[in-house]
Amino acid sequence: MKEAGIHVESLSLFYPGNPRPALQGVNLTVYQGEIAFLVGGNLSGKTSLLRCLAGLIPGVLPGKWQGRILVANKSLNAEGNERAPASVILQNSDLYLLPRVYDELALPLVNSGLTSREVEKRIVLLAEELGICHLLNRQMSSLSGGERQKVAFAAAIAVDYPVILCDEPFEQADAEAAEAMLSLLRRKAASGGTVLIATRYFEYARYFADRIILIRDGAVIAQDRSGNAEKIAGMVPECRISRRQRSQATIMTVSGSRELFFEGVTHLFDSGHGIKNVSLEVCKGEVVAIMGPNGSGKTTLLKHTVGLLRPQEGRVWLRETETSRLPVGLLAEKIGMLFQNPDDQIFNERVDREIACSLRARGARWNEALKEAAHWLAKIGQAQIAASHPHSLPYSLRQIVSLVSVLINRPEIIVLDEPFKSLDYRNVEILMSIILELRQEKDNPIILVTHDPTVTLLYANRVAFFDHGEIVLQGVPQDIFFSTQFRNLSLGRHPFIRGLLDSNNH
Amino acid sequence: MAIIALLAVTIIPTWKQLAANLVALLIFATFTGVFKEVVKRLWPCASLLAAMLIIHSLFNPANRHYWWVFGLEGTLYALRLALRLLCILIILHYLISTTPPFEFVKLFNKIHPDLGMIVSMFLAIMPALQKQFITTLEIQEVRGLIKTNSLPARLRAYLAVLVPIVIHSINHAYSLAQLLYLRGYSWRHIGLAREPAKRSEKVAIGLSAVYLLANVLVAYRWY
Repeated sequence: MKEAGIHVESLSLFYPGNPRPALQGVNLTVYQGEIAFLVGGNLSGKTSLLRCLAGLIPGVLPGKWQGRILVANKSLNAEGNERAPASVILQNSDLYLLPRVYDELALPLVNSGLTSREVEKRIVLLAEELGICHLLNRQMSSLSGGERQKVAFAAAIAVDYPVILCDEPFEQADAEAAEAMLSLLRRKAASGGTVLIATRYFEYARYFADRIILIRDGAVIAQDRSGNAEKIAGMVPECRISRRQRSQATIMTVSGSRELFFEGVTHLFDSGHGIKNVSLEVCKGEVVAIMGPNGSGKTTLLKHTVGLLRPQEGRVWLRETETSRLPVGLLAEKIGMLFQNPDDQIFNERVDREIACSLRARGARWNEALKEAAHWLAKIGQAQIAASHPHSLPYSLRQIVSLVSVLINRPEIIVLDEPFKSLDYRNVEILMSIILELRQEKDNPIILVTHDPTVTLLYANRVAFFDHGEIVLQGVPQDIFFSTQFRNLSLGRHPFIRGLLDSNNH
Repeated sequence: MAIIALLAVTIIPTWKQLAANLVALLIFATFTGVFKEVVKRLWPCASLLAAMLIIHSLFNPANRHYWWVFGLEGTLYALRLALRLLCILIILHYLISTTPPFEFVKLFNKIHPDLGMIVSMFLAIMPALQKQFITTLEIQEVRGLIKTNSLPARLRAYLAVLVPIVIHSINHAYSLAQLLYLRGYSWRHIGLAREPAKRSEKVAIGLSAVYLLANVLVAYRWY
């Protein structure tokens, strides 16, 4: 009989100052040699559960849990300050403790009691396994997002614990990096380890899980072997786009006038990264998705739209105007840009003031701007948050606040730089419905950078794939995703694409 | 090497010897190809040094002998200060530009491992904060909030950039605490291997010792 690697009984969790439980009556068992996926949307309780299993609550973070937790046969104490015998991969892979890659990997090994020689041996083995030998002497700050993620992953699993807990490990990873991580986790499980991965992407669970556990509102709502994935898939619409929704994504043709045109734009940084001779046009009413691996030049292109970067070669046209001499402020009045993380911009103590200050910056009076902010909040059904402190709201609502602070200026072109990175599909739908409603009024073109092919399929008229700073493929998503060329790209191995191809018998 | 050189500069008693040292350091900078860089770095200090000279020459209470309105004692005192400061700045410039951050960490680690860890984390956090500053600045610029036309607008612009950075730093600190806990940070620390000194390092230390000795001898003879 298989032995349990993780066993949880009647687990409830309360955060201080919140009478509502973050977890309630959670029961689950993950066996040794198994990869289990904990699938749930935003605020479902995935991260809270992982924090309890890792001993972070109450070790470092405030919170009180009741129930029973066993990790690798070690019973965790609800009052204690003891680490669980588990490797933990946190959601934010941009975090690191030491400036040099080698030291970052060495720290957990030294802390586990290994000698310098053993540490060196283990690091070399791990680096070979993950293909990061060439990074060992580099500075962490000089790594690309993908490289940093690999190092964070390596540092987390450097000590050979019997249990591995991963919180959204694919969120910042392109398909290639996700595949490398999954194959290593599969090897760990095959050698008797227990792996629990929290994610909001059901498609990953469908293809890579031995067991799928669904969580919502802090409670486990279903669990089954992955062979029965179809049976439970419908229970988490926030984590999965159904076949019906996919078929509703109709091919839209756009024949509007040209609004924005990148004409042979080149911008290369000292590191050699950037974009090379990129030509792309965006027409009225069109939604253009931009996809590609980390560091392929997507954000560099977007920054040219508002003048944060200027072309070293080539030109950017806003209708008939060449934009190189237009100041950022003027361009930004016409082009609204929403960035990845709402916390990078929110600075006011009230939601309505945060939204209104975008109008105020364009010369509106405070009372007029506040009135307009209230109107927008009512329009999107969030009038009740007007007086709230933005940082007291959940992440998804903070992103909506950021979006409204962009849309309130009624920009002619909307640029979205990975705004859905940490959001489930229910929240993506809410955000996109707000954007598309505005678009219906003015037929604004939209440029959308995303890693998620689901979003592209549902909302884009056209998709451009970037690789090493160049557009390697461009066309209608429905055609592109089934093309042979696309399957040669790393994104062609994304579980959503696999599902798409499977369901169409390709 | 820098410590020995700093020690030498600190013990020099006269402005003439300090001036000779400054000339020697500048000649050294010319030979090592960093003269222009050193001058560029020191240029912002010029107004401060000039102000110091003027204030001391006019208002130093030790002034007894005057050339027109300028007191000789105060001028010499300010000159010694200015020359000593210039020499120290040049030596520090050499130290920073030739020493990788990891060597500083090693040094602090030798004093106390926790101190080494703190310095390491500080060095690791700085680029992240710098990146955050640039991101927030860009976002608020696109929102039209970075304006310099009026004082209230400028103050608001500071807040618009500062608040997200402070909040980011607090969140970052929480996340780092989690990471330290998960990586099992405890009484054990990274034991940095003691490497034998290279030939070039031995030569550098030898030269610094000669430099210190020469200054001590000259200073001794002076008196």
